[in-house]
Amino acid sequence: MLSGLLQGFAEMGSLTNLLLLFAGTTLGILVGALPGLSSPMAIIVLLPITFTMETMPAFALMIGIYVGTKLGGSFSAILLRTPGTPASACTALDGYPMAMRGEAGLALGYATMSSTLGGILGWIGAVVAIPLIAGIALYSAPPDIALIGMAGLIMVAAFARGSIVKGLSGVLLGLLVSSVGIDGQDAVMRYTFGLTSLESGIPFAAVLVGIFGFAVVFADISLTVKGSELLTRDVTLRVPRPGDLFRRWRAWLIGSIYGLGIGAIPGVGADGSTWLSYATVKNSSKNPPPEAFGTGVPEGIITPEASNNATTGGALVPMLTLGIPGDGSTAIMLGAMIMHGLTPGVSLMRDDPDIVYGLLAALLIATIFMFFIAMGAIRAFVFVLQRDRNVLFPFILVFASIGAYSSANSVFPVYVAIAFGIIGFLLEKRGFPVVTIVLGAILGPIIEYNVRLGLALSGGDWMTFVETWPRICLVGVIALLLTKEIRSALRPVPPARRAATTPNTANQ
Amino acid sequence: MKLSTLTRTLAATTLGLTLSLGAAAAQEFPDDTIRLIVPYKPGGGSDSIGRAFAAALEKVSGQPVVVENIPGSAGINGMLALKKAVPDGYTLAINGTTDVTAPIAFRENPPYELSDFSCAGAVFNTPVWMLAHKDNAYSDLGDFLEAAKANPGTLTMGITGKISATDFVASTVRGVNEADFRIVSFGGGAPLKKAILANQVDAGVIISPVLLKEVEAGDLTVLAAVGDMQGITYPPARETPHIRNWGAEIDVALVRGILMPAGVPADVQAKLESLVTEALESDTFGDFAQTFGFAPYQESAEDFCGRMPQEVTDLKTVLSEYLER
Amino acid sequence: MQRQGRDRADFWQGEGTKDLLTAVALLLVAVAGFAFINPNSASVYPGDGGLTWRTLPFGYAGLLGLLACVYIAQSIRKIRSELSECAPRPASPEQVSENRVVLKRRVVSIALLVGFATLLKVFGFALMAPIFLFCLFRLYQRGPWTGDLGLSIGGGLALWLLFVPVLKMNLKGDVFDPLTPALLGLTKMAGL
Repeated sequence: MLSGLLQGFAEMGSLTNLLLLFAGTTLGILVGALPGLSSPMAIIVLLPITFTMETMPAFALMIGIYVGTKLGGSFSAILLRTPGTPASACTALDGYPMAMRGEAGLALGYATMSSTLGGILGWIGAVVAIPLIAGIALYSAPPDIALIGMAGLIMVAAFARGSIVKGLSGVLLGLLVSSVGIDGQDAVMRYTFGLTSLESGIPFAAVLVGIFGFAVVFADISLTVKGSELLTRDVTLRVPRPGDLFRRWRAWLIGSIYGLGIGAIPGVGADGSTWLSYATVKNSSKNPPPEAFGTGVPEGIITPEASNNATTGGALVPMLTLGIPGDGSTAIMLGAMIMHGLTPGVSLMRDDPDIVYGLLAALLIATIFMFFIAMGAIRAFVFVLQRDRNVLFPFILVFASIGAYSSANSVFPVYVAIAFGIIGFLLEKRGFPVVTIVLGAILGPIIEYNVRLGLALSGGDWMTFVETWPRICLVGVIALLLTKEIRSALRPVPPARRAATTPNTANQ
Repeated sequence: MKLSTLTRTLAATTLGLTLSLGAAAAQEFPDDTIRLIVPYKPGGGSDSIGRAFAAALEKVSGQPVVVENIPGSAGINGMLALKKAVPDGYTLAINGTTDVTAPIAFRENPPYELSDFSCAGAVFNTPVWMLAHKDNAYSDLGDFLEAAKANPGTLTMGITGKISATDFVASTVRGVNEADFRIVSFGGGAPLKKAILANQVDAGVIISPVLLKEVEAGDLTVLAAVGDMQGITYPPARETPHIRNWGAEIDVALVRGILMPAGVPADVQAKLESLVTEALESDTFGDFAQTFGFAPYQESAEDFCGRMPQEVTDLKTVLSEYLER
Repeated sequence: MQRQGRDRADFWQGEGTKDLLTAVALLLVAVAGFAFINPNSASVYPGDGGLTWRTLPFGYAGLLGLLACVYIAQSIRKIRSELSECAPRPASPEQVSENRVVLKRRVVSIALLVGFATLLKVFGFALMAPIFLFCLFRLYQRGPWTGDLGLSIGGGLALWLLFVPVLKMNLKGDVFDPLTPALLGLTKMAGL
């Protein structure tokens, strides 16, 4: 395998391929930074162009875009509070407060460095453990995925601290939202009110655009009136030292592991890994204390960004070894493979190993390129994205609307996005952590679909959830998490800790 | 000139120009971008077929062909968009007959009627087939049915969704043979494909040629076919026994073809039909079909459209006879 | 401290009242979750393991209803405590007018968004985007109207170029859209 990899690097190392990787990554970072535009969109657009190219260069371009968008999204998340892509929604939680304090360069630097680190770690993990990753992707059965979903749901409580009632209500709202549509098992319409547009459910992309795009704009319109000199004019654009990053190894290590593992499991959604790793790191963090998360701590940027770039390794391995896509972009890349005369699936490794290794090599090269391009472009991004809000907001509204439109090539998702924008804005004013709505909407289908499918496969036998050792472990994890949550919910927050969440501690 | 005279002259000139341009356009169809609606998400099987066809059509027509994905509701959203499109021949859709007729057959208030559409020809005719993992050691459907009789209530057969083409096949086989196995719906082709590969179901019913590579590699066995397998690129699979050997007298295939909104002028329709045939015979599409696993299937627009009314009746019959209600 | 009771206006401004309204809204959503699940109850496949298509949504709606009741109780308590406090210091005139401006901008932005979405497929992106941008620039008082005009036409054009010729999206208006074909023709001549 090592020789195969070296061969792959040799192939990808040709000037054309390197140039295309560079161009693709730059394009990816740009596309990622624009709210509403996403990686699948960019890849689809380039599909017809790539038909005229050879396979390797074509995929160099696509993988560059794929990797770039994972980082690009965090730029607008940090500078504008509207994530450019769903994968970076979590980064805004700590990225934006940090930028508001005048440390935009620091935040962007952390995002870039941890994205690169996560991408590299995810790549190493994926390549070293290809059989393991492929095994996880293939043999994860509905009960396993359901249990992971439930564990994730309990972790969502981490975002509900401060008001259990509001946090849980948010989760339940998200779960209800995800129930709309045709039921997967019984083919029954739920909450569709006779509209065919609702039969496939409330378009999730629209919910994201609404809550993280429109709601933020509605809320921050107040900034257009104040017209105050925001502290975000970070003239020095200080970037973090490598030591600052490596010191926080728990954040990026946990993020990378989550990204790699969850990215590999199809149907869970690579973006969910960012939230899960954020929750885990937050809950188990000693210094800075959990309450500091959300005020602008570097760990809050490091872990989701490491996670979302690690998912590229996790999603690419099943795509190459099994022909099973982990997310939207890999699904399109699979389609592109067919167009280029390759047949994805178990035989790809056997028939066209050079393609497999070439793509893996491309992933690593693109990740490294991403680092240099982004670090070089931080200044430019800060300049563009810190224009006056009353110039930026109209453009953001247009981008977000068209982004919602393009998810189904119809205006319906745009209406949905507007509705959720209003709901999200109103709820946020009342102190609801609207993040929980999104997480409920992500986890709802995962849990319900897989629980019911698992039961259907076992003939209604609930014991299927403890049938194998991995499942027993997962049940144990869930029980542990549950007791922890209940205990911390019942215990009041000690006043001493609250004083510790001053900006100084976050500046290291 | 007075203003009103000027306006009138301008209007008349514009009108004349538009009319003459319009007339000229009809004669040189196509002379503008063609839109091909794919009623499914990008990256899926139907999407790949649609994009390959679009590339081939672009070559033979000389005009750009752009694919537009309008997913949702098992293809209904895309068909509704097609229904609303202007019938000038520049908006097409690719879909399978079963996916078009199923809403009409099963819903009390169907979202559209067959009369809302016209056809331009078929592209693929891919029968449904039944697969099992090699570890289960079934050599054909008979072995599976025997195992089901020996262990009533334990075996599982996966389908893509309740009240779908695959559901018909599974339910009919079960009903006709009075076998006791569980039919499990996966709510989509992709999860079912993964479950078959991972041997999480004892057998699965899915549209061919999905999982063909795994069949060729020997990881999966084909238990039975529900239609004509002669077009498949893997010769041993052409000999697959039909499920009528086990009493199920139905033919269920997904015939994919090109559809248009009703009301397209006859000459444009004829031109499109010949373009579709040309695209099918082109090398671009032929190469794609090789990788895809099935030979292209040519059928006239009339025959393709003619399948559907009969299919609606057939679907209703199968539904009442064999499906759980 | 002088006890000045709150008057009507303060009541509606109070945090507690807004909480109460939100809580009632949530309760209504929970009730809707039970009522609107499936107006024409179709397919009655027996669910495996006791779970049917109704089970989980009803569970969610039920829990939401419970939480909404708790929230209602909390907000009533807050209202009571607010009522017994002194009236809050009246907001300064600048504050009041600023809030009014923010409110106006929010409402009008939403209205413009809805209008943009509705008319997008009627008149096409090429026409609607500059109009939408211009209205928003004017609303946020970006600067002189000539600058707004230039920015919205230029920006709209740039966006159109990105979305239609490059990303190949279908943003043509169905009813009356002369601009899109004209612009497409121009880009074709320019060689895109």
